Order: sequence, then structure tokens, then C-alpha cells
Amino acid sequence: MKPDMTVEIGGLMLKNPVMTASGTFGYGEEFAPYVEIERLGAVVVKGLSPQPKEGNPPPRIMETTAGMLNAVGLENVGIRAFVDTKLPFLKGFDTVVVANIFGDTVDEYVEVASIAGTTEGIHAIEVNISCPNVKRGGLAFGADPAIAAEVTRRVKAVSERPVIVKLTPNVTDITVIARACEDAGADAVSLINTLLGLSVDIETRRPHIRNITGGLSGPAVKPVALRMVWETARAVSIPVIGLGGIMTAEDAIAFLIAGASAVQVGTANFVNPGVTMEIIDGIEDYLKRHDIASVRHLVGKLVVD
Amino acid sequence: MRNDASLYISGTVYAHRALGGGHYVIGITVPSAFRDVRPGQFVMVGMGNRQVPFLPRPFSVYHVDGHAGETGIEILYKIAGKGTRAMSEIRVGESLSVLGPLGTGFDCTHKKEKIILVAGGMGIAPLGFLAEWYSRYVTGSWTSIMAYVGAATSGDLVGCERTEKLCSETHVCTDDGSRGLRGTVVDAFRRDLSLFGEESAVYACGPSAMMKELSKLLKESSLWCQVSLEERMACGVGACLGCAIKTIGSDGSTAYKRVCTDGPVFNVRDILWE
Repeated sequence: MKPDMTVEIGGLMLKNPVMTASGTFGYGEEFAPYVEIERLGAVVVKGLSPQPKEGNPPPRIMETTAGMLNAVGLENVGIRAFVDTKLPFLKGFDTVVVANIFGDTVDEYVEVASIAGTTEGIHAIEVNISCPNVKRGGLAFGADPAIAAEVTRRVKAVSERPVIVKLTPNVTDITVIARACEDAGADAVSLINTLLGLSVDIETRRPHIRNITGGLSGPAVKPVALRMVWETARAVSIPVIGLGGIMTAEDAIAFLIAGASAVQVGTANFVNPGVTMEIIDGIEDYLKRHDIASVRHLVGKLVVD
Repeated sequence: MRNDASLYISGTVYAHRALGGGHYVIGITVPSAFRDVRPGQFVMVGMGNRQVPFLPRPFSVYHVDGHAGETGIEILYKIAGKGTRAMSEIRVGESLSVLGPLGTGFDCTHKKEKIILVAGGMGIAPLGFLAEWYSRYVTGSWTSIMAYVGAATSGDLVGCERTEKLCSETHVCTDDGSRGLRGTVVDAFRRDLSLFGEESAVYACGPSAMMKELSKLLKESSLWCQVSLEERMACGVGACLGCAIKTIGSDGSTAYKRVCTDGPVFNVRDILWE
């Protein structure tokens, strides 16, 4: 029997639990030659701000052991250009479109959410709270539970669509932030964003990345991500979307078992642009092999003595 | 910016020759659709499930070949880091992932008479392919191809035999004077600059120091010149935004562009070197 692959996130039905991670799948069209976009559970687009953003000076990326650092600087076309020029392409596919949003101030989050949360063809908002809070000396919005809650509440107030809050792992206790977002009305949380890192060229004694530090992603972060997903899934009752270093179906299944209701595939898209298709097929094969009727039955089934 | 003709495939290595000095040519079988790859385009080559290198690496195509009834692409490379070192250990018969063809190629539709190639180091890879392309496929106005080929030292001069065969003149130079003229390839090109004008098309590729020098040289000139650039990149398809390069428009406005999909071929005057 064909297992039920559907999952539900904040009232939205996904045809399977495999989403793309923001910033690794462009606006969808970049991957159209390699991926059947309508087979994806959801497409999460590159982070959008009220105005276009130029991004950081290069070099922006560096390969590290089993992963990569990036400091792209949230370069994007801006929410309005996205709606006018990028969204029409995605509307042509029967899949869930999630607009990832960010701002330099809470008001900017509200500005972009008021468009993203009311535009036809955008089914949910994912709020990136890992960016620096300009008015608070650059500390990430997501590093302070009160600020994380404020952003969530204000975005939720203007959005007609479910709101997913994407959490930063660069905190002492991610469950405190997750609970604050849940209490403020978040429909789901996704984690983890990248881990802050540094790579040094010992010949020039300079950082490999112009921004000095960058976000670490790839298989190197997977055990950290799994641990945080497991902790968070036990701390909140809203769905948790797991991401961080997923390269294969086996990796994705581990996240589901640890408590994720859905997963996002990020850096792996750079290694194999068709990897999401293989992950969807691999999860389905696993369910058949273990005679599990629905992928939902797997969620949070970590066995601990 | 979609390239619907692009494919992600697993290809078998059918040839892998060491040229000395850490230089290699690797041949990979690819589907026949790759026959349409143009000079200046590139492929992302991945080394399977190895942890090192983790990301695929971009390489410009050096040659397209028929191989035992299949299509083959050849890549010229030099060991420069972990990725190319791992690649040098790949044996004939092993598989590599290939994503491509990617990016814009060189423009060959301009009807100029003199074709001038300025290649520094591994810049010979796309320009060698371009020389071959002109001699095989571009008919019409062009009458001669001149190549300036430079490297740090004679051991790093690879691919000259090919340009010597295909071009009416090949000027060789090395930084240390161990072969040909002493000096950089831009020095050699600068010496002959007055020979070139409206009827000339210049194509250049090489390390960023060379490209900066060339940009400076051509700043005040009106010579038609395209350059092919190299940057670290993760995806090759315009999504990671890792390969940003600052460009300047005719109105003076600046913007980052992606080497992978907006390039890797650019007008030399569009690049704003920082």
C-alpha cells in the first residue's frame, strides 16, 4: 500500500514533508531544469525584505569540513519585485509557496509581512529572526525571547497566512525562544538556521570570508540540529520543521524521528540539484519497508530507555 | 535566468592525462545534449559522496569530443586546493557528477576581423576552446586569430601547442622569462595594443590580478573585449549568491551580479574591481 506522505503545518496541507530551505533554492526557477517542483512539499524562497538588498562584498562563501560558511548578506530583490517578477513562475506549480521574510527593524518585518501575508500565491510566511536587530546594537532578534515574541506577534497580526518562525541556534537554550514564539502565536517553528563560524587562510592570515564570520551549514551541523529539534519538539506543541545538514532520505527520517513534522533541505541542493526528489522517494521507500501507513506516525518516535 | 538545456548527470572518466607541473586534462562522458556547450560556458563537477571536497567545483570546458560513439567533455585544470587535488586522484572508469552546461558563453556574432586571445595561466582553458570554435564553426568575417599566452613559469605553460596550431600567431610569455618574453601576458598585449582597433575582438581569461591589470589598460580604450571570470561558487545555477561580482552600468550605477548565471563572460568595462 502507498503510504500517506502528507503532513500538516499550521493548517496547511503539504503533499509530503520535504521543503526547500530558504537561500538554497533561489526563487524556485533556478532549479526548474533539475527538480519537478510540484513534487515538493513546499518551496521556501530566498529571504525577502521590504526593499531590495545588495548583500555583502565577496568573497561570500568558503567550503569547510563537511559543510560551508556563507555571508551572502541576505541579498534579495525585495518583496514587491518578488511578487511581480518571481511569484508568477511559482504559481504555475501545485505546491505550497512559503515566503521567507526579514527586516532590520520590527517595523520592517511588519511591512514585508503585510504584503507576503496577504498576497495570493503565497501560502505561508517563514520569519527569519536570525538577522541583527539594527536598533539593538546588532544582537539577533532571535537571541532574545522578548524580541522574538514581539516580532512573532506583530507579524502574526498582519498576516492572513500561517506564520513559521525560523530560529537561530546561536543561543544558550533554543527551547526558551521556541516557547516565546509559540506563546506569541507562531503556527510552527523551523530550526536550525546556520551556526556562526570562522575560517582562516593561514598563508595570508585573513578570514576566507570578507564579512569575517559566516553561517555554517551542511552535514557538519546535523548532530547539533537534530539535538535542538529533539529538545524543541518536546518543549512546544506547535509543529517543528527540522533542518540542518540533511543530505539524504536517511538524514531526513532521523529528523522526523527526533520530532520534526517536516524537514527542509538546504545546502544539499548545491551538491545535487535534484536531491529533494531522491529524499522524497527515499522517505516513501522507508515507510513501505517498515510498513508505516503515514509519515506522521514516525514523527517524534525516538526510542529512549 | 533559467537554462533549460542544463543537465545533472553522472559521467564516466574516459581519459585523465597529467601534463606536468600539477596540470591535468580529464575527459568525462556526457549525454549528446552537451554537444551544444559553447566556449566560455562551464560545468560543476562533483566527486560523488566524498566528504572532501564537499561542494562541486566549477570548471570551464576545454574541449568537446566524440568518444566511442558518445560525447565527451574535456577539462583542463591545475591542482590549486583540496578539490582539484582530489580530482587528480580520480581514475579512468570512475564516475563524476556533472552539472551543465552553465553560464553565458563568449559572443562570436560581432563580425570582427581580428580575433585576439589573452590567456593567463588556466585562462587558456576556455580560450583554447574558443580558438577551436572559431576555426571549426564560425564562418564569415574573421581573418586571423592571435593568442597571447602567459604563465608564471615555463612549467605552467600548458595548451600552447593547441593555440599554435589554431592561431596565426601565438605570443608566449612567462613572469620569470623561462620561456618566451619575460613579463605578464598583459605586458605582451600592451606592447601590441596599437595594432588593434575597431576591427578587433579581444577575449581574455586569467587570474584576478591579470584581469584587473587588463581592465586598467583598456579603461580609456574602446576595444571590444570580453572577459571570463572565476569565483568561488556553491551551486552554479544562481541560487547560492556566493559568486557575486561588483558591476557598473553605463549610467554609473553599481550592482552585484552572479558569475555563474549573469556570467562568467562579461564585458571588461562592466566589472568594477575593488
